[in-house]
Amino acid sequence: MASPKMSPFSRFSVVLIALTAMLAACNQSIDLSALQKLSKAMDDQEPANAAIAADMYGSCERQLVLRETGLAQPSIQVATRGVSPRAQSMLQDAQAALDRAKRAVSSAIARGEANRDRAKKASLRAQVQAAQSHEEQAVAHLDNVQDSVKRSQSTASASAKPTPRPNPSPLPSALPTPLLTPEQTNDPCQYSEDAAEQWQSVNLILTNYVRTLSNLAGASDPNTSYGLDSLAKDVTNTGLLKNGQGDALKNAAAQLITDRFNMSRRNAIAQDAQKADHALGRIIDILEYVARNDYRDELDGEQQTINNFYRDNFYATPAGLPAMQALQFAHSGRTISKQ
Amino acid sequence: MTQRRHAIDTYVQSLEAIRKTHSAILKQIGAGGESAFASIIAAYVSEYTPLVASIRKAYTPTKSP
Repeated sequence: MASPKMSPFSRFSVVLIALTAMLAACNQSIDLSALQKLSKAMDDQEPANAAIAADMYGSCERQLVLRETGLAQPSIQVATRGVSPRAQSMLQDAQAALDRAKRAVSSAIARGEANRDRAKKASLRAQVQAAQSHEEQAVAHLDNVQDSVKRSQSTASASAKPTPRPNPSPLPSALPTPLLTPEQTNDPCQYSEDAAEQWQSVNLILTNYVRTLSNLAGASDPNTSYGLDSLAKDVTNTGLLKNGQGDALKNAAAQLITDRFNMSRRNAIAQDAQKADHALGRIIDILEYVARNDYRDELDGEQQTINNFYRDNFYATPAGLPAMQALQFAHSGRTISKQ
Repeated sequence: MTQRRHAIDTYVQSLEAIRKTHSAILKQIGAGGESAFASIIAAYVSEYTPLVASIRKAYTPTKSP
């Protein structure tokens, strides 16, 4: 620190010497400009991650809507050949019912998409929390995802037709016991919504980390003079230096300060990146596990629900049977004989 | 549905790209040289771009028939 009794020029010299000495201690070689490009990469990565996480909830919603739609529609067996004029008329009615059902399916899919958008908004709420989380919280959240999905599956099974699911593969080793317990709810997709939100939270921890690393590489404040302007003015006013010489010294000191901050950033990146490497690896392991197991199970369940929907509601008469004598409305048990 | 299943694999690949890039950065820091930094990041960007585009495409709403 410069003494108050020093002349402005001496203070300037002390500043330059101190900065130069600090720079000499820098032992990190990191291309800061290259690291800054990672931040832009995360801008693209984030919505993609949000979409896949939100679809865990969207998939559950689509299953639910499909099940509800299936229950609301009459079960129809559509005859394919050999029908009488009356049966032909009924066939047309059945075709109309089929068209209505298809529209209902389209509507169900659209609702599923809308709910997915809702899940996206919910995931944004988690963004602030995610920015403040660290790795232990991330791991705990993901454990809770496992728990939520399992509970979701059991709740969905209780409230609708059971959907066979593959046995979940074992959790990655050394995961701690879940810290959070989902609240009981009558919404069969509540847990999927929670799981999607938590999944996205951890996605954000990952992208925020990389973005922070990038921002650290580019974080400088070019508008701050660090008092060099007034110091250079004082030096110039002493008459020891001309205006041009004072500016040259000021610019040299400013560059040294910038280099000093760059050095600090390089050291910080070198230290923080090393410390974060283990946590980053764990977070990536867990994110991959959730995608490969929990989300895939959810999609398997959705596929099964779609198959059940078509199987239960409309299918063609198998070939080789006698000409269909009737259209059967299974839900009423009514049979219309051939005329 | 097929696209969404494929997106899982793509998502995992994108995570692996981050892991690989972070590891390469650390290795470069340990080596004490900065010459390879730009190529590390450039390799990551070129690798992740099609992956991310593929994921986003899988979740782009399509019009129902």
